[in-house]
Amino acid sequence: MSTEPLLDIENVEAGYGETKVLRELSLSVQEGEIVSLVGRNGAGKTTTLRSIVGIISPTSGTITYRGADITDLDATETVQQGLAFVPEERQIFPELTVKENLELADYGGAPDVDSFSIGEALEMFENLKERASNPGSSLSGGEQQMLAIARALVGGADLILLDEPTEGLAPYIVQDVMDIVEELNERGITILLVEQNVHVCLELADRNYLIDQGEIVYEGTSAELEANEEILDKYLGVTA
Amino acid sequence: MLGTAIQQLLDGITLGLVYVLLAAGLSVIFGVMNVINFAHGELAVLGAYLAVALTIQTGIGSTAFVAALVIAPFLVGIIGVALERYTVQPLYGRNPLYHILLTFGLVLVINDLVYLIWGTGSFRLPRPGVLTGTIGAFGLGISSYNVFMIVSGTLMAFAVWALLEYTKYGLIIRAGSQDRQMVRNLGIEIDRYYSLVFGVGAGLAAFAGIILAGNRQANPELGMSIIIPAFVIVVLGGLGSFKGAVVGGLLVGILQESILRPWVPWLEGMVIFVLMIAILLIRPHGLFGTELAEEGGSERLLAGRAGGLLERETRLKLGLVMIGVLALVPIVAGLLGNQFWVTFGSRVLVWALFALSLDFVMGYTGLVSLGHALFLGLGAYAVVLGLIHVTSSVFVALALAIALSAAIAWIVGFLSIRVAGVYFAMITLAFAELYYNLLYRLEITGGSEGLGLIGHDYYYGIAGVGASLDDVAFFVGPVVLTGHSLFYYVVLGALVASYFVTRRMLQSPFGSVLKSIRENEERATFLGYNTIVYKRRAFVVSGAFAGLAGGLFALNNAFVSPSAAEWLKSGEVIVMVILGGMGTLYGPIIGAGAFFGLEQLLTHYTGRWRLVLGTIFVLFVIFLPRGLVSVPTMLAPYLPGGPGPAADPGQLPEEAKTEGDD
Repeated sequence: MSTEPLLDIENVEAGYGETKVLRELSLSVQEGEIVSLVGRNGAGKTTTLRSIVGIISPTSGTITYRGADITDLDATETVQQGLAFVPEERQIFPELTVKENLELADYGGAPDVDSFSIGEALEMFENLKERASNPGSSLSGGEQQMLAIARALVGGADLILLDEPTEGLAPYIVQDVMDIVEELNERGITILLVEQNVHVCLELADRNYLIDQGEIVYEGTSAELEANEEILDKYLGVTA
Repeated sequence: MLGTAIQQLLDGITLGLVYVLLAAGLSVIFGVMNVINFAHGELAVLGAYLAVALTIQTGIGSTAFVAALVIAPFLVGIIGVALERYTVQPLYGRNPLYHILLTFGLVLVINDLVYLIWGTGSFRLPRPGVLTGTIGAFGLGISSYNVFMIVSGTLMAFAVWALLEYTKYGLIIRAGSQDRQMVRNLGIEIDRYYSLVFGVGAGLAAFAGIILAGNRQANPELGMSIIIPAFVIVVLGGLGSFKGAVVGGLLVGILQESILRPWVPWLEGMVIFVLMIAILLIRPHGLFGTELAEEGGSERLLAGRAGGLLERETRLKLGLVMIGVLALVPIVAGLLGNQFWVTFGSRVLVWALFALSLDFVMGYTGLVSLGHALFLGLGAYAVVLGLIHVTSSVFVALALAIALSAAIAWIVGFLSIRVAGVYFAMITLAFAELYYNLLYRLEITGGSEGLGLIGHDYYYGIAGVGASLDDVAFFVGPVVLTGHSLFYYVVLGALVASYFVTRRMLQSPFGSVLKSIRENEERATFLGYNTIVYKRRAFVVSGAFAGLAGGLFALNNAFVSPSAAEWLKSGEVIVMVILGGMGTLYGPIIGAGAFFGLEQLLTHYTGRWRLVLGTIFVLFVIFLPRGLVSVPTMLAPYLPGGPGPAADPGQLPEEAKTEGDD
């Protein structure tokens, strides 16, 4: 990998108040990849994403995106650069309709990045199209996840940060979500995926980072990780 | 009969629409920015006065009226934008309760400005000829101005609704009131919309104020009287919900004007507070509100910091010197032949005790009571009623006051402490307003006349042993201490005793739990403490001391009226606590001294001293939230051995900082 990474995180430390969650964390994502960050509850996965987006600011280390330093940008500014954040729990607006949720994303997002129109996004997600004028609160968990992803597309993104997209979803919906992630990737969108479910990572990701207690403890392709039973057992308590 | 009913219904809708316009701005401002704007009523008054000024300038006629209706809200809107930018904005990221404090300061400032510019008289907005007659319909004569109010109010409410529903701004604002951070995460700079929201809200309030001022007599106090129902409506409908503001506004308007006033006037003014309390208890997020993500609610209140600068022993000595100085006041006043300082001193000490009581619950458990005047009023009426009907011993009457206030505090605490932060502030306000209105209605409390102690004999003592202060005299050199001078010592004694009792409590295990709640309530819970029980106990202690302060308050005046429980008093005592520095027991005492010292100083120059006080308070909230007691700590690194920061007598303890050569 000789090309410059799209997203590069170097020695980032971050936390909440006096509690340090990330310690000297480094990882990078190349353009066009699907990279997973997998680890147990409380390992620092979400904190990593929140640091990248700028919801919390790292106490040390640097984060670069397309070669530019984005360490100290806030969430609004990073999103305007073309990173989209699809948070855990989806955080769609429950009292806005599906269409309004998308319109809002259209007002925001990255101005310089090619984005989906609201119509295109609704074409892609059949269920949402049917429910375009229903309030967000009436959607099922899977539909909310679709809406959260559609929102990122309408805003325009070269890199989507997905926080536990399959959490709490029924198995057949998990498959739908995975299909969508692959489809997005085929359309040229880079994905950084945070997951507790290693099977989702192994199936989707080109490369995987394993995070434990705020540090990257392992990096490898899905094939390598799948073969490494010792690591899987030690850090995730699973056998693939 | 039916005609009257229709007329009353129309009156209710008319007032309801005014409320809708007020509450809509208030509610949306809260939803988007988490700011409870106490100054909203003052902005309405400002609009009304500007409109009058404009119509008088441009001649009274339809054109002038319409011009005023457009220009005045616009001007107030601009003022709103400026207020948001220069006072509200610096406080984002702090505990939302600071916004309550800030906007309370703004109430004092704007209210006094209105007095200063337009005087104290009441007025009615000159209406153009077309709107003065009546319109015949259904065999009724309906005032054409009422029709105008209903039509223009409805149109305005529709305009706001359309703005929220169908524009880009509206969508962003609606989304912001659900989840601000997620709006930011979508790449939208929501903070840029804050000024706009505040400005539009202010303009709406102004519009409401203007049309109301054409309907009834208005005066500078109008803002104080409409802000409380507006709060009730916002709470009722749901903080942040426009729909809630509309439904709540019409409901309260019709309830007040069409049902309570004509049919059960006795209950007028009380039902809405009962309703507000019920809603807060059963469904704190109101009829149409959504449960709010507790964003920013976890930021702590900023306690005063003075500890550590002086040795414990030095501080004790300073305290004793302070008590000594205070004890000399009546003697010096006697030597100078000026009794003013004795009555003034008594007043300051009563308020110092009241402020101390509030700080015990606000500074140590983080519960901001917006209705602490409830306990002042309870104590005051308990003493007066006790002395008139039950006993002639002042001590017994004071004990009654303490017991009654503590009991009511337990009940209020039992009901309210489950709700946190802003909701707690609102519910305490509702209880205080309920009591305040009750005082007007009850026979036994003498209604608005109040009750006097003149003509009733009472003595300081117990079981018949004791004497009236007027019958006792001490001779200190040429000075005779009697009556008021002795009462001064009673108050000083009560304050000193209360100080030491509360201090002892804070050093006990109970106090340690309170402090741990203040530092981090969650962790205190993890340690196995039922923090609600501890907070309630602190609230009861606070209520008891406030009741004592209330009793002394009534004795000092030998009179009590409902104003003892008005919400302005609750606000003023918060001002004192913040000025001095909350979370320290001497801070509020210093704050009370500074408050009245300032008043005394300023009334020499201007009758509108609240303007200056409010400005100082606003500056304190923005720049010095830890209060006067934190000044030496802040200055210590810069001014080694420098003089004390101010010549305020209340600040005596700071002078010893000259010793802190560090």
